[in-house]
Amino acid sequence: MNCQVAQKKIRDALAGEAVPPPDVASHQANCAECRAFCEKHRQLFASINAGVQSAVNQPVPLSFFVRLRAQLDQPPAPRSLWAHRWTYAAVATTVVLAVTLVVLRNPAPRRDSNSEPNRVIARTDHWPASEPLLRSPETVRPRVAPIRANKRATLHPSEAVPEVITEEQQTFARFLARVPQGTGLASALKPSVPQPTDAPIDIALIEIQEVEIARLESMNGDGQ
Amino acid sequence: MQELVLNPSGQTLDDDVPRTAERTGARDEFEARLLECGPLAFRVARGVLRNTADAEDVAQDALLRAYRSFKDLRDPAHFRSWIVKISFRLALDRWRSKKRREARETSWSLPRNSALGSTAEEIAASRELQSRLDRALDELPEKFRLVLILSAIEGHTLEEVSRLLEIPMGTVKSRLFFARKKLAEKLK
Repeated sequence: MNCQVAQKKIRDALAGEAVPPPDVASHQANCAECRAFCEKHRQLFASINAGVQSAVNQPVPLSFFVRLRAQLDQPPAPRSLWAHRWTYAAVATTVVLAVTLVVLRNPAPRRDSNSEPNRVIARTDHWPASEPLLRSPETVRPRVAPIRANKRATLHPSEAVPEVITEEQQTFARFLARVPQGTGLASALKPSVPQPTDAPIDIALIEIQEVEIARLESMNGDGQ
Repeated sequence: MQELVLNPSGQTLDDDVPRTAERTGARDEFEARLLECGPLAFRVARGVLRNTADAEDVAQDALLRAYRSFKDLRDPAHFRSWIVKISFRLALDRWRSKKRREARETSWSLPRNSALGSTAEEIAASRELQSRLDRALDELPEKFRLVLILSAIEGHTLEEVSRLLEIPMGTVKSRLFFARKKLAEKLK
């Protein structure tokens, strides 16, 4: 038996509070190193036992039972409100309901992808500069979608810019350009006093006296 | 003889009498076990915390909890085992929070490795060894630590530890063996 094996057996035996086996004992008789190892580990385990026992077997303080009995005589403290599981459930439910209400009251803007290529929503301050009629708000009254106007009622007047449908706006402007000036139809379509863009829009009834029918193709391109 | 208690309005509190009697009976039964289990709870906590004041607090907390749930204990024979487990768990909680607080407050630590003394007396007397033993005990896995603490309590045999923890005798022996071996490795 070599020293390494003997020392492992010595350590295991001492850890299990047993005596080393006979073959180890015979090895120890002839090996001073293993004898020293055994003695050193015996002392080590003895000090471990002493340390643990001294930590555990302390006398119980006299105040221990006095304090304990005083606490036993006291009525149990009422349970904390937060400790109750139903409280947690109620709080969680309230939070979920509040979040749901907030989400329902402020839905995300709906985007209609099918009509988007045909109906381009634009602000009046982004009118194309190539259209001369669109530069003067006196001559063109933007058509405001009623739902969007209501939504913007809560905004600051400077932010409340009505949105118009550009294509329809342009078509209406071209139509106005072709209306003879000084007629009742022209005065009905053109307001005399410019109105703020965020005010509700009133459109007067149109009284048509004469109707000139022209082909739509002639309005595009050369302007005839 | 049961005494009737009168309230200020003159009505008898008949409903409270059985409740009071029941409470008194539970209290008497608990008191009978307290003298035996109080020191046990204290020593288990002391073995984990190695601080008398903390151990006293933890043992009192454990016994109070046991008292409040005493009527729900189905098998009174398990009371000692129950107390040991409550005390150990509470002591571990206290020990962990204490360690966290110490780690925040102190930046220094004791040296980890140093040579052993030459004789058993020198080793046992060494404060350095004691602090290293404390640290090695703290690093032991919980199940090993509890077996080591319970077996170190005066008058406890391995059979008693086996009964307290409700585990087989062989398990107690193997846990004790590994606990001592790990401690020796850390202190070597």
